[in-house]
Formats: sequence, structure tokens, C-alpha cells
Amino acid sequence: MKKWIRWPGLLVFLGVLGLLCFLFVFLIDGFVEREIEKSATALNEARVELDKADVSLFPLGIVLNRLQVTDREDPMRNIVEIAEIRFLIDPEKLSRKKVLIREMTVDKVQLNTPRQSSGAIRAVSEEGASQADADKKEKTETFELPALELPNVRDILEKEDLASLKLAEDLKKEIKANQAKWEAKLKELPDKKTFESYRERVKKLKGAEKGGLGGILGGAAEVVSLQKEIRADLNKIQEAKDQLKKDTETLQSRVKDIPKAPLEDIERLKNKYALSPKGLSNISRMFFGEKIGGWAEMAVNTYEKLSPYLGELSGGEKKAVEQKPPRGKGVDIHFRKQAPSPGFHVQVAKVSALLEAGQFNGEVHHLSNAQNILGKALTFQFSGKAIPNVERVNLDGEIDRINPAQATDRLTLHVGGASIQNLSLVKSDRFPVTLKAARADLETQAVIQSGQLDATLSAKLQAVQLAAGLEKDNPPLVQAMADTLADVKAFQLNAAGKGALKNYDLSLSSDLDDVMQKAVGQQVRAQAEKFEKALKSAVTEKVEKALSEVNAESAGLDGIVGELTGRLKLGDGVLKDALAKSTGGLKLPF
Amino acid sequence: MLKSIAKLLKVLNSETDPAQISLAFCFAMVLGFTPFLSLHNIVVILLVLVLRVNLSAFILGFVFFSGMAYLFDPLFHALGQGLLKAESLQGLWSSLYAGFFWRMTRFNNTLVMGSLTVSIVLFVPFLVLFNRLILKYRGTFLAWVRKTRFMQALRATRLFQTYETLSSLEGDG
Repeated sequence: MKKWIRWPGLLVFLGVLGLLCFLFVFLIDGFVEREIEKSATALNEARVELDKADVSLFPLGIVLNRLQVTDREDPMRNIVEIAEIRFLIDPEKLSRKKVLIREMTVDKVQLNTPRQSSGAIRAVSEEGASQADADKKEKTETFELPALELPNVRDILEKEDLASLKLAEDLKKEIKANQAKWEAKLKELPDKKTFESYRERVKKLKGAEKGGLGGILGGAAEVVSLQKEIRADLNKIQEAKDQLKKDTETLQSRVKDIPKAPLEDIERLKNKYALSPKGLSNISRMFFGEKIGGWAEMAVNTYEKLSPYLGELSGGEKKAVEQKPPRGKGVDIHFRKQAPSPGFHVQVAKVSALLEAGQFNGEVHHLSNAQNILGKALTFQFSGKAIPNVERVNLDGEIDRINPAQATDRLTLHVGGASIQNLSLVKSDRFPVTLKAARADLETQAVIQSGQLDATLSAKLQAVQLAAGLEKDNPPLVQAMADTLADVKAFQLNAAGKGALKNYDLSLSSDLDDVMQKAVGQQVRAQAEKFEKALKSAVTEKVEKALSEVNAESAGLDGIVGELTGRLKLGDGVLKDALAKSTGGLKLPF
Repeated sequence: MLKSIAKLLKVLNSETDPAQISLAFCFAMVLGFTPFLSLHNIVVILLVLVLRVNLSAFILGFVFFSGMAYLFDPLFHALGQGLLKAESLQGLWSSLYAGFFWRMTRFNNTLVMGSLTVSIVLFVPFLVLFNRLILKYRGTFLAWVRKTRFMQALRATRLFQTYETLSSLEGDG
């Protein structure tokens, strides 16, 4: 037996095994850190960094320190930064290549934090970035306050182009061009001189009658030829006259349209510069549109960025496609298990987040990469803790992608007893409005299904102090509006966002609209009428002047018509002479 | 490598028990054929170190059988797949798969299953075969080989000089 046993070999084996275990324990932290950074960076398409990963074997768990996830659209910022993540992994599931985390603790989540160095892994296209900025600007700058003072009509007409005036100018130019064309054509047509020469020839033929029979026969042939020439010339003039008449009629009909054109100009300028009662009916959009639009945009952007990590929208875990394995690797065959489970599943994550508004604590349940296998939707509940000026904040929701084709995400936000102070609503120089103080309760509900947003916001504001930051000597309407706002003590605001997530319609309404209309609607109507009258008079005056110039130009064309009529008369006279010679005037000897 | 080959030649020509050499070859076959990072290979290495098998034969055998494994890889995969997907064995595999220890052995990998099955099946026949070949070599071929022109030429090579040096060192020792 001794011949077959080598005891020192056992010592060597144990030594080597111990060394390998030591190396594993020593290197595993760095390995896990690099693997997480590598795979998360590939998934995020921008750098994901970890300060440290600490792996414990008994029990099997990981602690990740300072996880930074770069915003791929703004590589100098992190979309999320987490101070510490701690979790234990189920070793039994891990042996099946499944990650099951029964409880995870996520401490100090911060959103949109600055980075010291760029986290881009490829150049961000400037064109794309500027387009995104432009889109953002477009969405948040669409709310403009209409004019509250009676605008100066003369100033408006100086800077505005009138379509009616342009129409008259164009027509004048066209008439001028037509006149030049017809004047040139007149020169080409048979004129007085031509017809005088015909008359001379008729006279000569009359003289030839007295020259005997030979003269009579020769004269008859010439008379016929002369008549043909005169008729041809008369036809030319007649055709030209007809064409000119057509041209003139067309131009005249357009001249007749000019007086109607100012009406469109007046309507356009009135809508642009005058405060209409209709404009007042949605004053809440002017006051709150920019703020709520901006918040909605921020929420949608955050959702779109987080959405891919919250669960598969289509597909879930793919079926393995049978293919030839690489040499030396083989294929793992998976056998029927008691219950199928997703590749990654966090049962509960306890999260503390430090957001701009304050600290939020909450829980996320069933974060997995395949809800269709797990059969459970991701749910979350957060509540604000010691948030300045807010009594309570609760945020809860559900990301349901159990059936990826009917994925439905829901979110509800309740904010109670929020104390608002000095919130600038309208930054306009003409009528700056500030919500000096208010106590607000608001409830927001949003559902996103198949890329369609259906969101509502309902806010009740009490103990309101609205103020318009006006200086002295304001126009009556402006002052009336400011006084009305100052008297508002409470109001209800409702907002709704509906439509495709990338292009939803935002509508706002509040009882402020009615209050404002009742208070200053009459004044606004009177002001609008006054403005319309002044505008009508100024525009008509300007256009009438242009119209008289057009009429003067078109008189030139009438002169050409007269000239052509004269030539026709002259030609007709000569033709009659020639006809008289050939029929009654000339007596044949047989 | 030259040293190892020289040592092997020395071992083959020495009085070492043929079973120690053939057992080394058979363990080398298991380690060479199957994927290195498998649980059963820890047991193989433990046995190689604890049992008095010839280490030179084991190292050379491992190199040889690793090369052969690359050639037979598709065959091992097909065999492993056939076994793992065999209808009659599904109950067995499913019960093993439910156990943590057996999953750690990676038995459900087609290459592990195929190559380990071939290694186990060939282990005893190869042990007997290698034993007989070594005895045959020593009894019949060794004297003849020494007289061949090839061996004469080989004696002049560096390889043989290394072998000689080792032999003398062993003798001195």
C-alpha cells in the first residue's frame, strides 16, 4: 500500500488549492467591478463607473460603492449616481446562472449629478444635441402673453407688411408692363399712315376709270387686291383690340379685388396685437403652461431614459436558438425546473434617494429582466421625508410588462400641504405675475400604454397671493387685471397630457379663466373694438392711395384701346371707299 | 519538454511499475479530454498527486490528450447532447439538475458529459492496454530498439544526451 500512496502529494494539493482560494478572494473584487462596469457601459452606451466592489463569499453578497451612470445625451452629467448598493445573492439560483436578490439596499440615489470627466464612449453628434435643445425650447416657450395695452397702429403699420398693399403694388407693376407691351405692339400694327396710303391708292383707281376699257379692267383687279389688303390690316387691329380687351378685363377684375384685401390684413393684425376676450379665456395656460409643460417634459424624459431598465417592452427572455458551439465550450442543457425564473430578479429594493426636492425613501418590488417569466409587475412606493415646505409626498406606480404587447405603466403622485412661495409664473416685462404664496394639494395620475400618454393633474390652491409686478401709471386694462389677480384667494387648476409620448398635447384649465373673463372681459372687448376701428381706418387709407395709382395706370390701357378703335374706324372708311368704287362708283361700259 | 520526453523514456526503460505509468496516462486522458475547469478534475489532480503515479507520464499524456480532445470536440459534443437529450434519461438528469452539487459539476454541459463519458468508458480498457504495451515494449522491443540505426543516431542527439545525464544523475543519487 505504501508503494501506492504519496503523502507529500496531498500536502502539495492542499497547498495549491489554498493558494488558488487566496488568489480568488484577493482578485474577485476587482474582477466583479470590471465586469459590472464593462457590461453596464455596453448596455448604457455611455460610461458606467464604480468606485469599488466588495464581494463576500459567506454569505454570498456584493457591496457596490459609488455607482455613476453617465447620461449618454449629456456625457458631463450622470443620469443617476448611487452612493452604495448592498445585496445578497441566492447561491442556489446562481448555480443555475440566475441572479436572485431577495433584498437589496440602495442608499443615496441622486439624479442628474455633474461629472468630473466626460462619460461618453463615442462622440455625441452636435447636430443631434442642438436638435434636442431646439425641441425642448419649442415645447417650453410656446406660452406667450398677449398685449394688454392698446397698441399704436402707426407703429404696427411701419413694421408690418400689408398683403393688400403688396397686391396693389404688384398689380400696378403688371399694368405698367402690359402698357409697355401694347405700346410696342401698336407700332407694329397698321396705323393712320397705312390707311392714308390706301386712300391714295383708291383715289388713283378712280382716276384710272377715265382711261378706257383697258384701264377699267386693270383697275377692277387692283380694287379687289386693295380690298383684301385693307381687310387683312383691319383684322390684325381687331384681333389686337380683342386681346387687349381680354387683358384689361382680367386686370380690372383684380383691381376690383383690392378693396377686399385689407380685411384680411386687419383680421391678421387684430389677432396678433389685440387682446381678445377669447385670449383671456385661457389665462391659466399663459400663467402655468410654461411651468407645467417644463415639468411634464422633464418627467417624460426621465421615464424614457429609465424605461429600458425597468423591464422588457417586447420579447422578454428569448428562446435559445440551437447553433454549433465554439470548440471547447459545449452547450448547457437546461432541464425542467419546478418554476421557471427570470435571469435577474430583485424581490425588494429599499431605496433612499436625495433629490432636488428633498429626501425620498421607498421600496421597489420585483425588478426583473423578464416579467413575462416572473409573472409579476414591478411596483414601487416612495414617500418624501422632511421635505421643506411640503407636508406629505407619496409616489407610487407600477411597470407592468408581464405581457409585453400590452405593457402598461402607471404612476400616481400625491403632494399634500405644499407651501408655495414666490413662484414666478409669467416672466414677461409687460405683465410679470408671481405666485407670492399659496398652499397646494395636488394629485397626478399618468398611464402610458403602447407609447400613448394619458396623464391628468389636479391641483387645489388655497391661501393664494397672486401679484402682478407692475409699476405706476398702467393702462386701465392692465391695472384691472392686476387688481383681479390680487383678489384671487383660491383656485383649482387642471391639466391633461394626452397623445403619443413624444408628441403629446397639453391642455390646462382653471377657474382663474372665468374669474378673469368676468372681471376684465368687457374692457378687453371695448379695447379690441377700438383697436380694430383704428386699424381699419389706417389700413384702408394706405391701400386706397395705392388703389388710385393702380386706377391711373389702368387708364393708360384704356388710351391704347381708344387708339385701336380710331384705327379701325379709319380703316373701315377707306374700305368703304374701295367698296363703293368696285360696286356703285364704277360704271362699266357693257 | 525535452526533459519530460527524456524522463518518460527513462521511466519506460526503468524498473518502474507499468501500472504507475499507465494509470498516469489514464488520468491524463480524463484531464485532457474534459474541459479543464470542471469539478471532477480537482478529484483527478488530487488522485494524481496522492497516488504514486508517474508525473512525467501524466504531464506528457495531458499534452497529448488535450490535442486529441480538440480533434474529438464535435464528437464529444454530439455524444453529450445525445445523452442529455435522451428521453429515457430525462428523469435522471432532471433530478440531478435539481441538486446544487450536481449542477456545480456542469454535467448538463454537452462537452463535459460527452468527454467524461468517453474518458470513463475508456479508462479501464486503456489502463490494461497501456500496461500490456509497456510490458511488451520492455520485453520485446527495448533490446531491438537499442540496436536499430535510428537509435544509434538518436544516441548522438541532444535529447539522448539529456536522457543519459539524467540517468547518471539518478544512478548517482
